[in-house]
Parts: sequence; C-alpha cells; structure tokens
Amino acid sequence: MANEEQCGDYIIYMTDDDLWEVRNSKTGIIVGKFKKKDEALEKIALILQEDEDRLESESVC
Amino acid sequence: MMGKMRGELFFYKTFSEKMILAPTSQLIWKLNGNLKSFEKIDEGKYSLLDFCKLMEEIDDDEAREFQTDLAKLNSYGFFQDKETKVKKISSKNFHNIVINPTTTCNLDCWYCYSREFKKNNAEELSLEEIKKTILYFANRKKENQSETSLSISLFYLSEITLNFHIFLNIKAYIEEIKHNYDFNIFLFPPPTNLLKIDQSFVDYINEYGFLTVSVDYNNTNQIQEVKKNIKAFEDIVIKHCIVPLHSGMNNLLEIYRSFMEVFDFVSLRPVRVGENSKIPWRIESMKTFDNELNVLCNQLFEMGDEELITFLLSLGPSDYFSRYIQRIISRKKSINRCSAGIKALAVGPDSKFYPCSGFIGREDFVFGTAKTGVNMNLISKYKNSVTSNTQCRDCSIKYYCGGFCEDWKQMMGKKQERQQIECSINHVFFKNSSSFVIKLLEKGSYILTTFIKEKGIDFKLSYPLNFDDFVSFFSATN
Repeated sequence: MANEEQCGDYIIYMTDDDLWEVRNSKTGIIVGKFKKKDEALEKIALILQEDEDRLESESVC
Repeated sequence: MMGKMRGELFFYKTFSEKMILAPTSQLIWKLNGNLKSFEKIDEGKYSLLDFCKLMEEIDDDEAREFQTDLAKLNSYGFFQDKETKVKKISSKNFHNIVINPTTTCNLDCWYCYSREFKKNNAEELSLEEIKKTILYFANRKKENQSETSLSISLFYLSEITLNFHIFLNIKAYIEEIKHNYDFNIFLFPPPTNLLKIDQSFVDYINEYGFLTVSVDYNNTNQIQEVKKNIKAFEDIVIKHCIVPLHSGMNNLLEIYRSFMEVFDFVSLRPVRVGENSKIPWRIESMKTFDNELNVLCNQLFEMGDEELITFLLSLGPSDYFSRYIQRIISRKKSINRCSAGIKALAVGPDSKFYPCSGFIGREDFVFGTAKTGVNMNLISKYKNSVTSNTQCRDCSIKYYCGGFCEDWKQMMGKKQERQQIECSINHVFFKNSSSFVIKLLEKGSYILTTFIKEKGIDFKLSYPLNFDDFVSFFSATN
C-alpha cells in the first residue's frame, strides 16, 4: 500500500473502502479495520501494552 | 494538557544514553538529541505530571518538545499504570523438592548456604528418611491429582561427589516407585565443586549428559582442579559453570573467557551474602560494579559478529547479564522472584521443610516436617511476589526482577538501606542490559535475531526504540 505506515510489526493503511486497516506484517493477520486513523493507532497502542502473554508467574532464582 | 496526564515513567542514564521506561508495559526508549539540559534531572521514577513540571523549569526547545511528546503518547494510554491481572498460584502441590541430607563438604566457601546451619547442627537425614520424604511429596501430588512432574534434587548444602553412593541409591529408589504414579519423577544432580571425582560419578554424568560446576573465583586451587578434572568427561556432556559474582571482581570479560575455555556455558550471578561476609556488597561499590558491566558491554561491541554471538550463546541459564537481556527483549513480566514456597520446597538435614535451601536452620521459616507434613497455613503467609512486597510496589523495574530474594533479604537484616543492595544490583543489570540491547539493534538485527532464535525467546521490542520515531508514528494525523 502506498499510504502505509509501520510501527514495528504493525502496519496501518487506508483500504479502498476508506477504512484504516491494521495488519501484523509478520503473521499477515489483519488485527482490525477502523473508520478513523486515531482508532487504528489506539489499537496498536493497546497491543503494544498488552501483558497477557508476557506474564511469568514462576521465575527461576 | 498537563492536567489530563496520568501515569509514570522511569528516567535513567547509562554511560552513553538517556533512556525512559514505561514501568507497567516495560516499553523502553532511547532519547534523542544532545539533551544537555536533561543532565540536571536525577535518575528515577516520576509521575508524568512531575516530569512535565521539570520540563517546564528547563524550558528549552528539547524540553518543550519532550513534554508535548509525552502528552501525545499518554493520550494513547502509554505510561498509565494498568492493573496486572495476576492469577493466584496454588501452593497445594510442590513440583521441585531439594533434599539436603547433610552438610558434608570438602570446601568451606565463604558464601555457602550451610555455614550458619553447620555451626549449631549436626543432624543428617538417613537414607530411609530421604526415601520417606520423596514418598510424602509424591503421594501428596497423587492425592491432589497433580499431573505435572516431580523434580527431586539432592545435596545443595553439601558436595555430591562425597555422597554419590546415596545419590545412586535414591536414583534406584525412584526407578522402583515411579510406576505407582501417573506423573514423572526426575532426579537432578546438583552443582558440584569438582575437586574430587571418581569413576562412578564420571560414568553417571557421561550418561546423563549435563554437568554443573560451582566455582569460587577466589579459590585458585579449586579453579586449577576444576580445569584438570573437567577433562575426565566426554565432549558430548554439556558443561555449565556457575561463578558467584561478588563486589571484588573486575574484568568480567576475562573471567567469562577463562571459564568458557573449558565450559560450554558460564553463568555469573550475584552472590547472596550479608554485610558481615568476607566480600560484602555495599552501596558504595555499586558505581564500580556499574562501570565493570559497562566495560564488559563496550568490550563485547569490539568483537566481530560471530564472536559476539558465540559469547552471548555461551552465557548460562543462571547468568544475570543474559537473564536481563532476555527479560528486556521479551518484556517478561515476573510476578514472583522465584518458585520458593510456591512450587518449590527445600528439606534440611533436620528433616524440616523450608522455602529454599538458603533458609535452612531458620526456625521462623519452617513450613512443616517430614513427620507432620506441609503446614499450608504457614505457607500461605509466606509472600515473595512484587504485589505483596511493600518495598517493591513503587519500583520501576519490579517486573524485571520479580521482587526480593527473600533469603537474601533476611540475610541483609531489617535496615532498608541494606535491603536496597539487591535492588541496586538489579538496577545496574537492567540499565546496562537495556542499553546493550538498544546498541545491539542499532548494530544490525543479525546478532539479536540469532540470539533470540537460539534461546527460543519472544521478541517484544518490535517498535521504534528511538523515542522520536515512536512519537512520530503516533503523531501522524490524516
């Protein structure tokens, strides 16, 4: 896409139907489509701050 | 704009960079520009509002721009302290049991767990008592319908090679009983000092395939013996050396290299000693230690790519520098310092249960005995998580270290300044490792990609680590 912007693994661009699409460039998975660019950025911000798959309850000493 | 800002950041300085960390999300950024006026700002954790007030006081172009950038990112939720949903871990079953039948050893290392215990106790666990203890924990898991394996280790307070006949006996016993259980039961050999070896130990390790040696860097005789005795093992055996890191050690690269000559993996990890120890950690020595780690990082960057990859991959599982590099890359959120008292217990020569081998002999940390069983009431009062420890609550890097080592904390006594030592060590590792990771990425992705692949870790720094670039992405409007 000509108008795409990238933040690490995530790319946002405007689709032909005037929606902002967020795609993971590594997996190819489309994370969401949004009416406003700001909403797409919010989604990326949310993903970056998620901690569910980062929680480690049993560490080694 | 400032009134709406909430959240906090950790501003820190390495030898070459100024950086910030969003403590909850563990996102790190390197700040750009010459930032001369930022020199005046002390390193530490700030609320966004307080940090912006400092920016207002500085009142130059960079400070004004930085203030606007923070506000922009904050509007997307960055720096806000979101609640971490911690699942309660059940302590009903213990998966890792360290049984210490004796304190017999051919060394008297200045940092050994058993030094205090040995002064007042001469008890030993008999073979039958060891067997009964294993049976108790195995049956407990069976009753609770646990499916995870049970790992047994022996001789953390003593030298395995002096007691190897007992180890073999226990190994045979586990083989004999394990068909009674739906889960696996494993027996792990502990680290050895490798001063003396006999053929039965060599044969066992050659078949087992993994050898861990613990070396006192101040004991030149031990180092000589280790380097001689290690040759008795086949090349196929993976050899790991743990060297307790103390405040008097310098030229870390040389230390790593001298052991990497004969070991596949080398781990340097801070020695846990009190202030009356032979070589104590002191707040005053932190600057020197910080400098040593910085020198190490600089020396590593002088290496060629392949040499650096080989070095990084030769850092062992207990190595703190490697551990911090991995935690920074993966942004792993450690809730607990370790599994002591949660999934792991240690049994002393006095047949009492403790959270880990470091506590053995401390009556206020007895969690049961082989006769009475585990006292769940006492265990439930034992706290070793970042959420339960009041001193950890406001710490910026708590999710990297997981909180205090409770054993070390006890050793340090009640004075907060002394307890601060472990935190200071962790901060030195965090700062140097995060700076190292950023520089590594600037050098090119090849080294880090290879490291991540070989270590099997998640890469969670997939965003511009350069603060300006990151802000620029979130500032783009349409």
